[in-house]
Amino acid sequence: MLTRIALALAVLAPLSSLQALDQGEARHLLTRTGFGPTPDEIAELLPLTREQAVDAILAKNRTTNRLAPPEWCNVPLADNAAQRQAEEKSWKGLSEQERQTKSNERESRDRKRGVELKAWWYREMAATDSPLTERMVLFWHNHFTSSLTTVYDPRLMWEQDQLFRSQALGNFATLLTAIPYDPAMFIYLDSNSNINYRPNENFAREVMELFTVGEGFYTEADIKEAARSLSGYKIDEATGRPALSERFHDTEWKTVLGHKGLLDADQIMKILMEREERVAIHICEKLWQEFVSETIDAKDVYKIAAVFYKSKYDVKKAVRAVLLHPKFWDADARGTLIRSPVEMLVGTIRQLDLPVDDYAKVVEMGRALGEDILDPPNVRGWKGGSAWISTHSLLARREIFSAIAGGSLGNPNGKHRKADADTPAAGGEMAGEAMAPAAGAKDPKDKSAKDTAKDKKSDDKKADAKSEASSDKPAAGPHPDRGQWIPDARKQGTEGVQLAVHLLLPIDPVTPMDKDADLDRALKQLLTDPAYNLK
Amino acid sequence: MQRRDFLRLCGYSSLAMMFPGVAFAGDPPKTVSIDWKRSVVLIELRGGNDGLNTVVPYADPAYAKARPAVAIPAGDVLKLDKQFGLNPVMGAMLPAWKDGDLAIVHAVGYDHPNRSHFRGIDIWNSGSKADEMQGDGWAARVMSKAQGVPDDLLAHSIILGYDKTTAYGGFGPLYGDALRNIIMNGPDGFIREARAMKKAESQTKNPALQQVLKVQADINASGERMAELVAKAPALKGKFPKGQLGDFLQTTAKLIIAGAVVPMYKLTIDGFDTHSNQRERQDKLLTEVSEGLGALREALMAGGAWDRTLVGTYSEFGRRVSENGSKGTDHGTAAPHFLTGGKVKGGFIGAPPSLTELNDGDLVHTNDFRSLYMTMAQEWWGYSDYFLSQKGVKALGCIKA
Repeated sequence: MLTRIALALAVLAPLSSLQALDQGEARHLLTRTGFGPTPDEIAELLPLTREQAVDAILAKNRTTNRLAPPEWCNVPLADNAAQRQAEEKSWKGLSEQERQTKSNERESRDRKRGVELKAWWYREMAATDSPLTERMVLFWHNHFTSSLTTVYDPRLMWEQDQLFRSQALGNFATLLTAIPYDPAMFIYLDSNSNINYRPNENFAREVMELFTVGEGFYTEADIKEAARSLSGYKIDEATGRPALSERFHDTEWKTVLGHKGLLDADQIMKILMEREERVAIHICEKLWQEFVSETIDAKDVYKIAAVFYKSKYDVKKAVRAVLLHPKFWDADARGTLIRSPVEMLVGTIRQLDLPVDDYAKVVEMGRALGEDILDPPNVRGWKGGSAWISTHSLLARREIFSAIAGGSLGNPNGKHRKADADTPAAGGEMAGEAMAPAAGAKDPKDKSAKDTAKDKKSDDKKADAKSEASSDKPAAGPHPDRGQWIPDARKQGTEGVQLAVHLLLPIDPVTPMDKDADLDRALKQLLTDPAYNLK
Repeated sequence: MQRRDFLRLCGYSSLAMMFPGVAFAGDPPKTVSIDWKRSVVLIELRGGNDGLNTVVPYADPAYAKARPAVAIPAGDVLKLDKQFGLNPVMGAMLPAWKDGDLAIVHAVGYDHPNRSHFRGIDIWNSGSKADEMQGDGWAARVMSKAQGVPDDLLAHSIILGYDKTTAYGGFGPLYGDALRNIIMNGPDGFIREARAMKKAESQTKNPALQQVLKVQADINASGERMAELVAKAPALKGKFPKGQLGDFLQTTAKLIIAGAVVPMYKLTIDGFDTHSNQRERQDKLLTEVSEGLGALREALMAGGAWDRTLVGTYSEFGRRVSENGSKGTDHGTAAPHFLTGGKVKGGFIGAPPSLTELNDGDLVHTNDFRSLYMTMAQEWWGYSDYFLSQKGVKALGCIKA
């Protein structure tokens, strides 16, 4: 099958698939698999053919984070669970009012940490050398949804991030098998209240409808029986993860999708994975919509699904097949997908090399734009695609991106890029406090950048007051000169403006560029052009 | 809509691929619509309003017994009948009660109630079952299917009270596809923002760009329409209370009287999570609600718009029957809700809750919360499709022909 597809591709694909990419193709590949391409990212791909370029992007995949997370993420799960339990226990003797105060205190600590975690993720996305990894972590976050609002404990959402990250382009079966044991999911879909004498169907329903086979490929009876099979999991003190507790488990016989047995979570996941064709189609439809088009052609997707399930759910192989599909490369396909808020925010930060002083601001922007990461609206996640565009969201996009163009996240000037955001976490051992973006802690501002800034913002003062002394961090990141194109283009007049247009937009701007506009005015116009919403 | 359609298409085509020779029929085409000229004003009492101190079962000795510090003395209650009376701060709602256009729906709730604010309001917003998560809001499901969208639609909904705070969270029952929802604190801000959105045109064939430009054009049009409507709105009768809810209700009244085509206004008043010092805090909020609704009624009656308006309240849960140790009440279950409007048949609806036969200390509901939505969608808007996952929910039958 694989070879047949490869052959079919070779026959169908125009000659250009064997030639080196042109600028537009490189940009297209990068924007669809990442956030917003930078000139150096484009330059890296230019000598390569389509296949080489796709493989180069896939080869950069990461399975761990690059930047150190907030410090509290490093507390082992079991210790974290024990700590929280001890906290609750210590409230027992207190009066109702004191107990309320304690619980409010914990809630506000959790909320603060939640923002820290979200800010960390934005920072990671802005700094990463593998944007595709981040896009896939977002993809799984939007597939196996959980939300901080429901889960409460941010430590558990961090655990889930690590799971998604480890399998971002890994193996779907591994991911699915781990999901019933993911502590955040355990809370999010009410598995903690699914017990033998009162089953809760929430997880059983979503695992079929959303995570695996999809609507229409199971019966209500399957859900009832699966819920009973999944009953009685409780958090194990030794690991901080769900484990089967016989006392609450329904030990009767059950039949799920035709399989009869004394079923438990592992067996349910196995039974679902055996519906390989259906599961693969479901996942590949989503990948197709993520990367190629909102319109699904069943035949195209089926071919990719076949690659997926024959490889025993190798995500990288499926994504590769998607990215090498001729429809992905169709010149008319450029700019026909809507960018998500995160893609626009992170893309803008990367392309303009914005020296973001406080990523909590970016978190707030994402939330206002309708994509509050780690807090999806409901179990179906964000609808994405054309659903990003609404009366409200377009007004919010205009307002926020005008503000960014006006310097609300710092001025677009690569020379003054902040040093420490690019410092990688050393060999899996995450650096300590100095690097952990504690909430409220602002990064040092570059004085010279500030002095030359035209659009000084009042919050600079705040940032200065709270800044930490970490300016001795080395400036060496993977792209120390990511923003160098801006001062360069600024010197080149009309040509510089053209460069910015081609970098920032997938198609021509809707509002024609003013011939005499200088680069800074052009950037402002481009960030609010209707075409900036597209990828 | 578009997305759902092709998802369905591909679902069917992959089915067809797996079972060749078997025909799969799509849903039979069916035209459903709503009466676009009729508005629902939905007011969220955020935080979980205590129903027992709103509509007080003053004659039941179990009430005072369960709430030594929080109960409202029987003598203070504004008596509606021999069993129930309104919180004494709610006098502004008495005219509607006396005129028979205020309905009080007893003990609204659902099976296996959830006591979390977030999950609770999620269930209320989507109209789902307790152990199920539905993607869209109930009103969005209704409106995105409603055909015959009029040209002069200002918006499917105007959401007051979430401006600049959160996007999807604020949509609540209106979260869904392809709806024109306006989130604002007041018309001036919206008009200004809509005007700041530059008009843009293109002959493009790119569907994504077409969509962006279409929505931008809608915004431009809504901004101008809103400006016209506000300009022609008359001065309002009725004394609206100070505060955000009063302002929101005033905006709502103006737009409705001016003839804005907006099927739903969604307003929020926050602060009902009264774990401590409930009397003082809740009374203040209920004063705002009651005076606001009283003024809205007066204004709409004077403006000839009361008959095309249906007002309803909702909240994520009620509160426990027994008070806690902080002169407050904790998260509970069922609570009464109000329905009022020119076409509402006033009076109590459904059986009152028992204060002694409790479920784990909580009231057992007597009215399904989704029956409020059926009343709004089916009886009020004339929407004929069934939109709930729970089978067999009926409208309350409290709308006059």
